[in-house]
Amino acid sequence: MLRTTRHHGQTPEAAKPWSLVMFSVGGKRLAVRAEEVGGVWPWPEPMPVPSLTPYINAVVRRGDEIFPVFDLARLLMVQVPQKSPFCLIAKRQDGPMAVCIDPSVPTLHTVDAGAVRPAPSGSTDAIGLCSIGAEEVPIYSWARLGQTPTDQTQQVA
Amino acid sequence: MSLRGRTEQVAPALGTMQVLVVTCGKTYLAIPGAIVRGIVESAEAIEARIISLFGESCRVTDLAARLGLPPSAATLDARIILCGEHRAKQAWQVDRAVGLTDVDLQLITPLPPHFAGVEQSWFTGLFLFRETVSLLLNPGWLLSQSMDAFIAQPQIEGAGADVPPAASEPPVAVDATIPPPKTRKKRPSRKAAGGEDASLNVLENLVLEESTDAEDDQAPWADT
Repeated sequence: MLRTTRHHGQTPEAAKPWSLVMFSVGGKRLAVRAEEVGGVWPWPEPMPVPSLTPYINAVVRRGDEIFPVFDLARLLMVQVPQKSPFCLIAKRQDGPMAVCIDPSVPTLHTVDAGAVRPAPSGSTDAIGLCSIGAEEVPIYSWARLGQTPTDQTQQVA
Repeated sequence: MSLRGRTEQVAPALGTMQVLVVTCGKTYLAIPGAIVRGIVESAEAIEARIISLFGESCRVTDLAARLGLPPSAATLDARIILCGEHRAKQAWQVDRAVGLTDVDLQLITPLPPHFAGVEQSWFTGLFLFRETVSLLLNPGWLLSQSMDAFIAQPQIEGAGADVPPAASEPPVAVDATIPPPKTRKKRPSRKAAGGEDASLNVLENLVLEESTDAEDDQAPWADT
């Protein structure tokens, strides 16, 4: 009976569709799981923070909240347009981060879990690939961003 | 002009920390008032990059360059912040001294854990300041930056993706770059022979921006 219950609990979970937020950074389309997005609003003026942490070198303020900035554009080696970019709040285990994205409104998509394919072996940042419309879009996870392959191996271990 | 932000209250309130807020580029940095000994605005001193502090010569270090930010521009707003505690002393060049303010200790938050590098030792926290944010500099780190430390840390500086080519700033940059071990010892002596002594003579009698303040002897330098 217990075994049957567990089996029942796992199968629908594995087949559960993925809710993805698609947005672009420097013209490059990418997606993250909807539960990893905390909000989107106009990009505030960032304050540079001296830092040796890769891709994290500024903070932005929204009201009384302060968010560290993750420089996703730099990771992707693209440039976000200077005019009116958006700020996407990335929810991560160690706290939310701000990410500067293109000034186009992110869109929400639902894809079947089975339609998510593994990322190419050379890709260290994307966790998978999926087709949204006619586009092949890489899916990212904030938890993995900025980590070296060694870090990721250690996390898995 | 007074650096004080407050008008009614003179002594810092309980549960607050008095800080001097300065800027390096777009970055606001707060130096704990307890270690600030004076502010120099002499362009001559800034250019010479060495100053007499408590009767001893003290090399002026560009705070921005030391933190890996673009080096400070030589503008009329540039200031040298003299810091000292016990025997430790440092002179830091900054772009601008914004003002003195009291910060509620409860409003100082730690640097977010996303900053996982050596910067955690540079700053003890951050707080909301005017329309922006100010980073609270670690006084221990500020005062411990001996010339030996500059030589010992270049490999850390080099790891920063945005570390500017600090070589344009004569005394500081030499120590902030990654010189081969053999050249490290030569550079200070070369500078000393090349006019540092002369600079010292010129600057020995510099008048600092200090004033006595009977009401607040913790920060006599604040009202200038």
